[in-house]
Formats: sequence, structure tokens, C-alpha cells
Amino acid sequence: MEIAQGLIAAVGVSLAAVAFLLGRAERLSSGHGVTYLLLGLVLAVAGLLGPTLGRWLLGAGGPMAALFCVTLVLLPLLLGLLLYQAVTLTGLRERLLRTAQEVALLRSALAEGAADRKDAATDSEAHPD
Amino acid sequence: MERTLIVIPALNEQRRIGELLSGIRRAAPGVSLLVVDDGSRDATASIAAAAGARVVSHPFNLGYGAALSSGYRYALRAGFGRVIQMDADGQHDPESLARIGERLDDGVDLVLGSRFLHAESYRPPLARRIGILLFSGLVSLALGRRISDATTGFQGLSASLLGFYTQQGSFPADYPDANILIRCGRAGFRIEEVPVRMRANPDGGTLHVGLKPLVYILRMLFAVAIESTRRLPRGVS
Repeated sequence: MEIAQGLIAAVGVSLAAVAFLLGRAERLSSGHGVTYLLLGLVLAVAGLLGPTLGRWLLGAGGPMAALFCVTLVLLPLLLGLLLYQAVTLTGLRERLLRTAQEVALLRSALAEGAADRKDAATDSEAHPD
Repeated sequence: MERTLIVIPALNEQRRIGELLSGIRRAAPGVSLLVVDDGSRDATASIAAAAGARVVSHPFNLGYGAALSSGYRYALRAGFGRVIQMDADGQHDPESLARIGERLDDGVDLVLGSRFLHAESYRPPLARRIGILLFSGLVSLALGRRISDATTGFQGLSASLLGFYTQQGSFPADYPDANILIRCGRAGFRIEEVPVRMRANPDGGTLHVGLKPLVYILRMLFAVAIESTRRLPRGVS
């Protein structure tokens, strides 16, 4: 029981630490950072206090039920988030954002160029040399 | 004096963008205007273009920070020497543009328009004031000098700061706020505040409703904590 508790708490603390380090390396948005940090803290607290709360709420079988719930719900959620983050870490999101910005800037430059050419054509028609 | 580009990030502001652009034209004739339309579903872009502004339209909503950084890139590529950014909702009074421009002329890199230094500015609701106070306190602590309005969107930026912002990874795409001020200060840029007049949102509404303020505060606290400990991008002293 204590080993399982310790493992869950360790995963939580690790998740919080990873969120901080990834944020520091600019590989995590503030929204994701806060999400992972909070999830890490929930895991840590659940690992440390879950069995006590379970005993208090459910009686003798409570501690095991609490740990089972934590494992069943939170750990798969954590794995899903890490998988999602792996995609972000490859820089795909950043590249998509940059590409969208470049597309917008290029379209704007093309529109301005077309407008300038139209103005020049109008001027040359109005004032032929 | 350097050529100035007014950058206005906008999202679904068709009701107010025209009036804002006319107000800027009256207050600062001759300045160039750029509206960065961040994926609006209304006529924001066409109204801005009809009013004579340059327009960059994102193909979809990329976020406030990305809209600003598109504006900075546009400014650098088009040869503008500085940028003044304003919100599109009409809260920032164009009459204050001259004051920001003057400080940029004096060589300041980042001029922050502070609503709290201007006697006639509206005062935000208490909850929002507490949030601003919290982040202004954190920024003041990090920079070692008093900043009264760390969340202001009314700012003037020098060419060198624009160069810094457009470096890879120097400008957050989501929430550039107190965290970016700390980054600028740590990178050695000169930051000053000037009093500006801000008005209450004409509709009386705010983006900060429901759980958004809490989420914003958590995100910003995370960003500030990260910012205070992270290494600066390469090439910055």
C-alpha cells in the first residue's frame, strides 16, 4: 500500500517538475503548464492522502478503493496528456502557428502590391506622358 | 522622427473598429495603421480596409500574442522604426498616442501607457484592480522599480525591441503580459510608464467573466514564475 502511495505521489511531483522545466524551455504554453502543474499536485495529494480520506469516507476497504480510483482515472489521463505533449514537443504547434502568420503576412503583401499597381495604372492613364 | 505604425489586434470588432480608426486619424494624422484581424467572423477586416488601414488577416484565430507578433513582423518588414499598439475595443484614447510617441523619441524601448497615472482614466472593477495590483507588484519586484499598470495593452515599442520580440521564442503566442515585461527588463531594455487615458468598455462588458479571471491569474502566475527563472534567448545580454 505504502509503495503504491509513494509511486503515485512521485508521479505527481515529477509531473509538476516537468511542467516547470518545459515551461522554462519555452516548450509549454502557460495554459498547459498550469494544467500539468495542477494535475501533478492532485496526484501528489491523492497519493499521500487518498487512503486516509478513503478510510474516513468508506471505512475499512476505503484505502484500497481510493488508490484503485486514483490509478484507474488519473494515470490514464496523465498518459494521454503526455502523449499530447509529445506532439507539442516536436514543434508541430509552433510551426503551424508560424506558417499561419506567414500566410497572413504574404496575403497582405500581395493585396498591397496589387493595390499599388492599380493606383500606378490609374495615375498613368490620368497623366499620360 | 521614425515612421510609426499603430498596430491594432482585433477579433470581431466590426462595431467599434471604424470609430477607433477615425479617432486615431484625428489625433495623429499621418501615422500608418495596421489592423491584425485574428480570425474574425464579422466584417472587421473589410471595415478596417475601407477606413484606409493596412490589414493582416489570420486564416483562423491564433491568439492575442500571435496577433501582436504578426504586427511586429509586418512593421519590421515594411521598414517602420517603431510601433504603438492599441486595443480594438475603444478603451484606449488616441489622444494619448502623442505622449507615448514622445517617450519613444527620447530613446525609451518600451513605453507603457498606465491608466493609474492619469487622473481622468476610468478605474476598473475591484476584482480586476486586485489582479492588476498583484501582477504589477510581481513585475515591480522582478525589475526593482515601480510599475503601476503591468497589464496595459497600450504600449510603444522601439525598433530594437521589435527585433528582440521577433526572435525565435522571444514572444509568447498566448498571453504576453507581465511575463514579457520581466523578460524585457531582464534583457536590459529601457522601460518607462506614461499616463494615458483609458475609457470603460463602451458596451460595459469585459472578456474577464466566469472562470476566465481565475484561469488568467493561474496562467500568468505560472508564466511569471517561469520567466523569473529562465535563460534569456541567445544573443541577448
